[in-house]
Amino acid sequence: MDFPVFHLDILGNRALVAIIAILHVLVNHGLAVGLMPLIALMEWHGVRKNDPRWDNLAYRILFVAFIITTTVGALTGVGIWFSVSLVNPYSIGSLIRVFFWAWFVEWLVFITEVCLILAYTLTWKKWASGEAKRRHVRLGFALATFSWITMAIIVSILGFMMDPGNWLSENTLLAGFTNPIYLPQLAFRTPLAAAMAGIVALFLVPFFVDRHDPFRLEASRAIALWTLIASPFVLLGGWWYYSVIPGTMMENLAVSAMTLQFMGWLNDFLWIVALTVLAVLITVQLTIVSRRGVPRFAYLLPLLAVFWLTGHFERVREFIRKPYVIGRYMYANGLRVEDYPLLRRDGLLAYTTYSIPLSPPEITAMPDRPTGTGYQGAIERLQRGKDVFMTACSRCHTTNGVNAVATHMQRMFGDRPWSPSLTLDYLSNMHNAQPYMPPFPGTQEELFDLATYLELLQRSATAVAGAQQAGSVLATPPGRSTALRPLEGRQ
Amino acid sequence: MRPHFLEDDVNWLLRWLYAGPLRLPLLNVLMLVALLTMLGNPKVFAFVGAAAVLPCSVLGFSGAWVESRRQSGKFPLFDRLLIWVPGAVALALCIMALLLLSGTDGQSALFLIATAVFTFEMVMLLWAATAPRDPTLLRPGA
Repeated sequence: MDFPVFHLDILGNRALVAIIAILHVLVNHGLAVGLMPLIALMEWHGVRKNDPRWDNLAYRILFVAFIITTTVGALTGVGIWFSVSLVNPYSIGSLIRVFFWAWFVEWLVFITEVCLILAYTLTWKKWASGEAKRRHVRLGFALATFSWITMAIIVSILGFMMDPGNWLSENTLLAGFTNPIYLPQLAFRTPLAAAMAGIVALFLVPFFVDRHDPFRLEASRAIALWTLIASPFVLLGGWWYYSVIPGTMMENLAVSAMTLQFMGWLNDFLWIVALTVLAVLITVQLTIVSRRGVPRFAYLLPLLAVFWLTGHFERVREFIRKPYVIGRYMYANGLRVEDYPLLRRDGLLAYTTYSIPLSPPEITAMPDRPTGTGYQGAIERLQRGKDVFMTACSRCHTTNGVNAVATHMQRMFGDRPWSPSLTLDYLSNMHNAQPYMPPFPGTQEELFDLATYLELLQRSATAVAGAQQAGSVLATPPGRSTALRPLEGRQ
Repeated sequence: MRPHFLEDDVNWLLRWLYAGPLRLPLLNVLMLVALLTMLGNPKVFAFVGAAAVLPCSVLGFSGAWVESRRQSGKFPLFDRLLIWVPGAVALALCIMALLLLSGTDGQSALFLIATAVFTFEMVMLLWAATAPRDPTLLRPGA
C-alpha cells in the first residue's frame, strides 16, 4: 500500500514471477547444484584412471553449463528479485527483515560460487597435469559445495514461506531458518537436482562423443549410475516433504495441480508424476544394461518430463500456501494477518498511498450513469472500488487475463447482471467457500465499492493498466487523513 | 530322409536367445508374467512373483559380494557401485510393483502398470544377478 501498484492485466503478476522463477530453478538444479558435483566426479575419475577422455567430456559438459548458468541462470536470479519486488514488495520486505543475515551469507556464497565457476572453467586447460590438476579437481568439488550451499539457504526461505513454524512466536532468524519444512524440502531438492543433472548429462554425451567410440557407452553408463543412485532418494525425499505439508495446504493441492476448472485433474497428474519417475528409471537402467547404448532421442522424453515436473512442482508449491504468501503471517495480497482488524476498522483505503485513476473505457462502461452531483459520486465510488481491487485483489487476479475475476464471475453468476446485490454476499464470504482466498480486508463500504467496480467487468474487456503504464496519483480519501494525521503532524 | 527344418529353427532360436545376455531372462520373465496374468489373481501373482524375486536377489547379492571380496583393494568405486546399485534398485522396484499388484483388482490400469514395471525390473534383477559373474556385461565396450 506504500508503493504504486505494478500490475500485468493479461499475463498476470503471478505468471511473471512463475516464468522467471521456474526457469531459474531448472537452470539452478539441473546445471549447477546437480551438475557441478557430477562434472567434478567425472574429472576426478579421469585423473584416477589417467584417461583424458573423461577430462575432455567433463570440460565440454561444463562449458555448456557455464554458458547457461552465467547467462540465463544469472539473469533469472536477478529477475526474481526485480519481479517479486514489483509484484509483492511487502512479502519480500518481510522476508528480507527476517532473513537479512541468511541472505547476506547467501550473497557471499553466491559471489564465491561465481568466482569458482569462472576459475574452474578458465583454468581447466591451464591446470592440466600433476599437482595443478589435483588442485583443479578440488576446485570443482569446492564449486559443487558452494552451489549446494546457496540452494540450502534459499530452500530455508522457501520453507519458511510455507510454514514459519516457531518464528511466529519467537521472531528469531534461527526459528525462521529451522522451519518445519526446511530439511524435508532440502532432502527432496538435493537428489532431484542430482537426477536432473544426470539426465541433462546423458542427453549431452551423444553430442560430444562419437557413436562408434566405446567411451560413449562407458560414460553414459557411469552417468546413468549417478542418476540411478539419486532417483530413489528423490522418491524418499519427496515422501518426507509431502508428509510435512500442513493439512490446510493439502486441501489446496487438487486446485493447485492446474486451475479451479481442473480439480479432478489431480489424479491424472499423480499418474503422470509416477510415469515420469518410471520413465527416468527405465531409461537409466536401460543405459546401464545396454551393450550398444541408448539412442539420443530416448533421453529427450525423461529430460522434458523432469523439467516439466520440476516446473509444475514449483507451481504447486507456490499455490498451496494460499491464502498466505508467508504462512499464517501475510496473506497473498501482501497484507499482514495482524493488520486485518485495523484495516477492517479504518478501511483499506485509509492506508493506501497511491491510486491509479479510472481509464476512459472504465468510465464509459459504467452500468448506470447518473447526472450532476450523482455522477461525481458514482465516479468516486468506482475509483474507490478500483483502488480496493488493485490493493486487495490484483496481486493474484487480472480483470480479463490469466486467472481473471471476470471469468470466475461469469462461471458463478452467468449472464445475470453482476450487480452488488448479487455479488456482495459471495465477496464477503469467499474465503469460506474457497479456502485459498484471503478474507476481504476492508470495511463493508469498501466491499460495496469493490462490488460496484467488478460490475464493470461484465461490460468492459479492456485491460486495466498498472502504475507502470497508467501512472498513479497520491490517494486522498477522507479516512486516510484521519489515520495518518498524527504522523503528518510531526513533519 | 529325416526333415531338418524344425531342428534348424530350434537351433536358430537357441542361438539367437543365447546371443544376447538379456534375451533368455526376458523370455523366462515374460512366460512367468503371462502365466500369472492369466491366473487373474493379483494376490497369487504377488506371492509367486515374490517367490521368483527371492532367489534372483540372493543370487545377485551373493555374486556381488563374492566379486567385491575377490577384487577388494583394486576395485574402483565406479565398478563397486555398478555391481551393487542396479540390483538394489531393481529389487526395490520389484517389491514396490508386487506391493502395488497385491492391492489391485486385476482389471485396473494400476494392475497393468505394476505388471509392466515388475516385468521390466525382474529382467533388470536377472541382469544384476548375472553381471558380477560375466565381465562382458559390466564392460561391454572393453
